[in-house]
Amino acid sequence: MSGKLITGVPLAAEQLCVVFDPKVLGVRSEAKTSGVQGLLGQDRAFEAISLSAKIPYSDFNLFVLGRPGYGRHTAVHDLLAKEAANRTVASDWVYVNNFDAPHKPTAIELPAGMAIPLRAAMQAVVDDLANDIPAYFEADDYQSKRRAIEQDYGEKHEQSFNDLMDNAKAKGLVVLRTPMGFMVAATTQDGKPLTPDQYDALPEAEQKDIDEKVAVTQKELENVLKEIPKREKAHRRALEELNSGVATRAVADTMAEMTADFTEIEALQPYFVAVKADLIENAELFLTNGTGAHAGAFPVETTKFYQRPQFQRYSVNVMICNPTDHNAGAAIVTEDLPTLGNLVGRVEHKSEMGALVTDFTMIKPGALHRANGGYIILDVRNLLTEPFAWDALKRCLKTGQISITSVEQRLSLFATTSLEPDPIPLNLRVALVGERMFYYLLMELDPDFTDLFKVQADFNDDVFIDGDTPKQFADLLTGITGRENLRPLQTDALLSLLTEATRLADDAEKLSLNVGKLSDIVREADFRAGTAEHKEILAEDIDGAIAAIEDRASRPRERTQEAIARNMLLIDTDGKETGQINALSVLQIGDFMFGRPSRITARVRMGKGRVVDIEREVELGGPLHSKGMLILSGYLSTLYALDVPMSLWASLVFEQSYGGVDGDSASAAELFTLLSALSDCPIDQSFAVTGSVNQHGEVQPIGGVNQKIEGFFDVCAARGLTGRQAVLIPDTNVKNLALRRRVVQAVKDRKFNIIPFSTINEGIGILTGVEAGERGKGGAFPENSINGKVEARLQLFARQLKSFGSHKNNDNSAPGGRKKK
Amino acid sequence: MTFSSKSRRIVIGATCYADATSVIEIGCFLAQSTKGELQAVLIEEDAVYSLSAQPSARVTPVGGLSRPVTPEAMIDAFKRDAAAYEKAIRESAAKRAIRWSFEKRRGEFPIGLNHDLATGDLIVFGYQVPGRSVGEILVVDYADDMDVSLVELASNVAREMRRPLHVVLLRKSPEAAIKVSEHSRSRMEGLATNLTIIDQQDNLTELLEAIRRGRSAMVMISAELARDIGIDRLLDAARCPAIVYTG
Repeated sequence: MSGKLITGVPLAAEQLCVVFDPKVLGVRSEAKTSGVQGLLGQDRAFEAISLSAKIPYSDFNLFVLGRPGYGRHTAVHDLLAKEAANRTVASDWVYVNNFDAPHKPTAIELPAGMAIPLRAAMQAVVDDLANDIPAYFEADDYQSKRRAIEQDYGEKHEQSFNDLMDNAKAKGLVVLRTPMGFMVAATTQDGKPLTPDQYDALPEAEQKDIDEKVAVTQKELENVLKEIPKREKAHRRALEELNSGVATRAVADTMAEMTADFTEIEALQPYFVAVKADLIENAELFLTNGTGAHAGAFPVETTKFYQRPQFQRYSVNVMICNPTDHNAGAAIVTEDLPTLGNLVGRVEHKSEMGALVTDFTMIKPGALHRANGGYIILDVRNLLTEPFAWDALKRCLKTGQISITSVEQRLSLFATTSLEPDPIPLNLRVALVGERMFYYLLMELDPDFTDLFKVQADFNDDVFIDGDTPKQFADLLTGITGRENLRPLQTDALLSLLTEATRLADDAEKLSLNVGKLSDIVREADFRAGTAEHKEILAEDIDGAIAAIEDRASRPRERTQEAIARNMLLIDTDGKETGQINALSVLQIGDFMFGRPSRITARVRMGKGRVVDIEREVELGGPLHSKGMLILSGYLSTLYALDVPMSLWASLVFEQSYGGVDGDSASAAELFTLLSALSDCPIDQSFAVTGSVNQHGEVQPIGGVNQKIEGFFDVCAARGLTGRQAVLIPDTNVKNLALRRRVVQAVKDRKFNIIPFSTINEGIGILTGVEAGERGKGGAFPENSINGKVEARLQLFARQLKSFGSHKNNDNSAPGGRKKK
Repeated sequence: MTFSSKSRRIVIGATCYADATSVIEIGCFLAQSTKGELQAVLIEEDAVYSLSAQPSARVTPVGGLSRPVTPEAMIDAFKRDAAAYEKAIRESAAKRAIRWSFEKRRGEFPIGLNHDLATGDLIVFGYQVPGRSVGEILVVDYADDMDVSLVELASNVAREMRRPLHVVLLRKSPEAAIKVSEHSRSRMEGLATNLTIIDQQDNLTELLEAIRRGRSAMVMISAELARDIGIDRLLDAARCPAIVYTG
């Protein structure tokens, strides 16, 4: 579309839709390519993503904003993946038992790839000791030493007690055992305890002798029994020392062998020291493993002892294990379900005897763990709708640590003891992807957001058609077929898609970057091509897919057209009427937009200078509509009959409109209707008008021009095109034209017209066939011009009003009755 | 618990819970391995009650802190011991799924256990010396017509207690033949760590002295020999739990 646009004259068919020359596509290869991954026209966003990916500061996290379907997720993933590949692989992290405080598991950082070998090594230690420790303790060496200790202490215990018993016996006494302890008693000749009666029967001297002997023996008994606890303690200590020595040998040998593979990892050494001490202290765990020669189907030597509950304390909980290849790059993780647990990890519990228990082995990693050292991509809508997830993410970013919490803990619902694992340091770049609304809401309402997300990558919705853009766009489309493994796109198909891209952009000079929508069209077209047994996707497949997509959503449009066709909605498409015009509006239901004509009517009489917007009066008019009405009122008031008070009463209404009306795209049509009513000049009903007007009478561009034109066209086409029917559009909207083929063909066949206009004067002239008129040297409009007639009418109203006295008693009475022509 | 008179009985007896602990597990083991029924008895010695009534009566527990005792305190102590004894029996018997009963008796120990015994019954006398935890299982019987099943039973006990087994056989006179079949002998030699044959002296003094020196963990003896020695003399010499095998 080159050359200066001439307004007031119907557009040529070539001006209604962009038809691309195949040359713009450049040389096409038949081979499928992966294509440009949605970065066409996104230089600003690309720079932002690259900055965030590379800059080392922790608060330069990224928010990718834009509309859904415009390739944000794919683009940010591909860019970050490219950068991740250049970074070194992150460390491994494990949780191990804290033997001193089991509720505070210890986190240990390991070189990449060492977590699983460590876990395997500890399992092997347990299995080896489960076989070795029993063998050590069953060895003759240990058994003989143990027997020697027990014999030694046993002898000491017994000797003193036996001596006591023997001495007592020699003195004619016996030591009895009772539930309360030992009791010394005198005996009879046959060794039976002396009864009280027998004692009383003895001579006093003998009684005294017995008493003395009992007292002495009692004392000896006390001394002997006093020593027993001490000896038993010493006995226990000796056994413990023996056991410890044996266990130390067994454990030291096994641990030395294992730790040799990890000597270079300093962080592990304190853990190994603690493990060794604990193994020695708890060596009896390996003695009570219940093994025997016939334990299970497999030989004892291959039993997986590390799986048994008593040995869980020595296991290694691998949180993150990365490849050993340092060139493997950093992680890039996309978490599609960013619940609190999925994000920061969780501590699981199991039920035991009716209580919930946990330990360090039940800590599970989250997405932040997996992405640590690299990148994570989150959809902001998903994130914000998960309870506590957003708060947890911010907390982790602010503290630079991954702290594991649960919803139950946040709500203080958990009464069960849980864990306080060491937090793991976080080194991560977060990329949030979401609509612009979320970005601006967070900016406005969350002070943390601006501190943590300093980079915005704003994705453009479209790109200007210039230079290599069509070729790059074609590459993008080819990339879709490559990624989705579809049939190749024929050149005409590519050109159809380019045209459709201008339609989606609502701009003949731009291509929409709605990759999602285009991908849907291509895939459906591929399906149609398959059904028709095409080897390539042809233009007819693309057009068929586009038509089918529209058709599936067009039930509301069809109902509207049906209502008009059946005269349920009154729309004229020929003849002339004063104070009546076809305006155009666009309706959006879901993602489908369609236009439809609406009748606007105006009635005028003398009054107090008020233009009544009936929509506004009944609160069906939105603020933008009201603004448009006030603007046209301003136009009227400042253009006509300036030497008299504005003595007009006028009412404007969208006939048969029972829903809300907003926007000012019908303000030009409303003004035309009013001018027609004032001038008493009828408007040709073959025309429909869309356009916004300012106070200077200049026509301003509007949205949805294609749908509006097609809406009126379809009404006219249903009744039979006369060749006179036309849509008047703002000249500044010509660049937005991307009309469907049916309209373009009708224009080409001279059965329909699209007429651009730039001023009210121009438009009213086309609609009425009467010149608008300009003020002459005397300041008056030509008498037979529209403007002249309008001004004359307003002056008449003023005179009429003046002749009726005070303006305050005038009411809004019934409008002056003029019959419809 | 119902007690069947036709079942082998394992009677375990003690004068206090401390002594009972030395034989509860082995008693339950014997009941399980012989498919017998366990009868646990706590002997409340008359002598203890009467001595408790003496104004000068004192008791000394392990630890050496002696204190006066009254009959009432002793009665309470026997009740506590009975409860603990019965609980321990219940728990141990449940683990081995054996039938059991418990009772208290007034009388003398050890003879108070010798009631209504039948052939095949085992009587286990509880006796604990502070500190003795080592020692062998000692089996003592007459060499004449000895029952190898006693040795087999003792072997099971030794295996359960992880102790060596020592068999001591007495010849009633040097001239008496040892009527032990080669088969029985080889079986005994296979089961026992040691096999000793000694000549019986008229007063069995040497045997008792050997038992006393041996410091066994447990003595198993035939009823005949136990009767000849006297169970109280045996316990005094052995100073460990004893099992009398009635055949």
